[in-house]
Amino acid sequence: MTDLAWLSVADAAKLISGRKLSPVEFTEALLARIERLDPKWHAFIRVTPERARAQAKAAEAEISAGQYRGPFHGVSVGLKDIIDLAGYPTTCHSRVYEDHRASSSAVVTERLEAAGAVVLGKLSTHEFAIGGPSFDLPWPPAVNPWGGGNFPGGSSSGSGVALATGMMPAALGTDTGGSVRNPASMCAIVGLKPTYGRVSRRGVFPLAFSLDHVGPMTRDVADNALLLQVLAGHDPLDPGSADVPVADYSAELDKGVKGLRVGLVRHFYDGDETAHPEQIKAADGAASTLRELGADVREIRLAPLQDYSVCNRIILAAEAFSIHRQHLATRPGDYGVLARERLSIGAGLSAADYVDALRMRARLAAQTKAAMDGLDAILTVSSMDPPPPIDDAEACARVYPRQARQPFNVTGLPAIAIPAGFTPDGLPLSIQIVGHAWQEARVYRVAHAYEQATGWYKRRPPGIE
Amino acid sequence: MEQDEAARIAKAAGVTRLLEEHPDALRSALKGAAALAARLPKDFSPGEESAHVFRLPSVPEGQR
Repeated sequence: MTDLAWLSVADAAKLISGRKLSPVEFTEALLARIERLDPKWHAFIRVTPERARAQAKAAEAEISAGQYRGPFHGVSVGLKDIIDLAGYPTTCHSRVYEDHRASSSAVVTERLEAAGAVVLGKLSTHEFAIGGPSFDLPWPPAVNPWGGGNFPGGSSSGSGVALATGMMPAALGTDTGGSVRNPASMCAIVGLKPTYGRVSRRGVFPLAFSLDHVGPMTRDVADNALLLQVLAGHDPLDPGSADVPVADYSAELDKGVKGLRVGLVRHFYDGDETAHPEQIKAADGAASTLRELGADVREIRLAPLQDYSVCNRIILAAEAFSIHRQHLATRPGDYGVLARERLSIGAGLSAADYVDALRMRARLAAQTKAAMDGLDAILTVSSMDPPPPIDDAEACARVYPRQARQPFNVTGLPAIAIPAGFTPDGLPLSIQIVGHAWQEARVYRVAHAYEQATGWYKRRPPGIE
Repeated sequence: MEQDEAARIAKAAGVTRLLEEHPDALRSALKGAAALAARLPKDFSPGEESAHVFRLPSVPEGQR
């Protein structure tokens, strides 16, 4: 069972397509593991065993009949609980939506199920993808197995924890100001925020329309590319979706980085902010590793990190307040403390503030594009610090401003967070690789080269067999 | 933030109950909003447009 818990999507697919692993056996092993481990780590809001078992049986029957659909056929996944699964509640981890049942599935859920995936359940999130970690909600927050009781990042916290504890090989998160990449960084897994418009958001509860992305979360880069392949594509009914051809995201994985030009944005973590010394060492070390692998790594400057942060936070606050205003007006007590305060910020912003932030966004996007001319990718940090204890509210609150993820929500560029080592105490460190719009394949290429050269992704949390 | 100012904003935003039941949360949020807005650029030229999300289809309806 241990081996099944840590199987990658790619390895599971090889075994399943070769009829050496039954989807039913795989699903049962993971369900048993969830039953055993989740009471401690709280990755799930709801496990959906009956649906998972039916899907696993159907997958097994189809594969036995020679109808293999591809790498996710019979492979288990989880959904952050702001993503609709037909017939089940989408609680958004909130009392406000405790009884809200989805009548249809989100487009990303449909795509996964069409690929033959087995949905194990709905995963913990910060309340409405903004308020957490919170202890005043109907469900407890997910807990990071790294360190044994730390903050797992958020808001896609359950997705990060489910992967880090071997409960599933792939999960979906969402990212408005870094919510896929934050738990990826804190849980030593891999999380991609795709290009804005690459993946449909229809059927996903919004936080901020113009900044929201659905993103794949896995334990390695190759699996992440496989998952994006399933998710990507134009959705004419999602106003933010772009009609841009879908690339082969695994095509460049093994091409290495020799000759690629990578811009190191060092001032984000040793200037605009000062990251934890081990995190600075990890990011500088990643630049050295890429140089040793043959990349031309040169330091570049973007706008100050705080400019992107102000822009992201104002747009997010204004749009989120618009979405939540009715509920904040009529049942404010049903929100947890953190979500209530964070969602209320938009009440104090004017229409001109919002439009100015959108004008700032256009300016920052143009400046960033110009700075990336002639480069294949950017390297910088994701989080400034390793995960703090989950019961240290002040330290957890500091995680939000001390990060370098918001620039890529503002600019819409694809950005991946991957493990980049550990502190002497064994806590995860991470880096981000960022690419030009629609060039996720190039982002994966650089990330995969670094990942394979360092092997950090192979490490498992102590005490989690 | 002054009591009157918070009440005025809460009324304008339609969240008076929020102010009544959770005054500290709303005041803290409004303080945060003011701090953020103060950091916006002041040097936009008149023609510097926002990053729109609204787009009409590139091909007229019926010609797709």
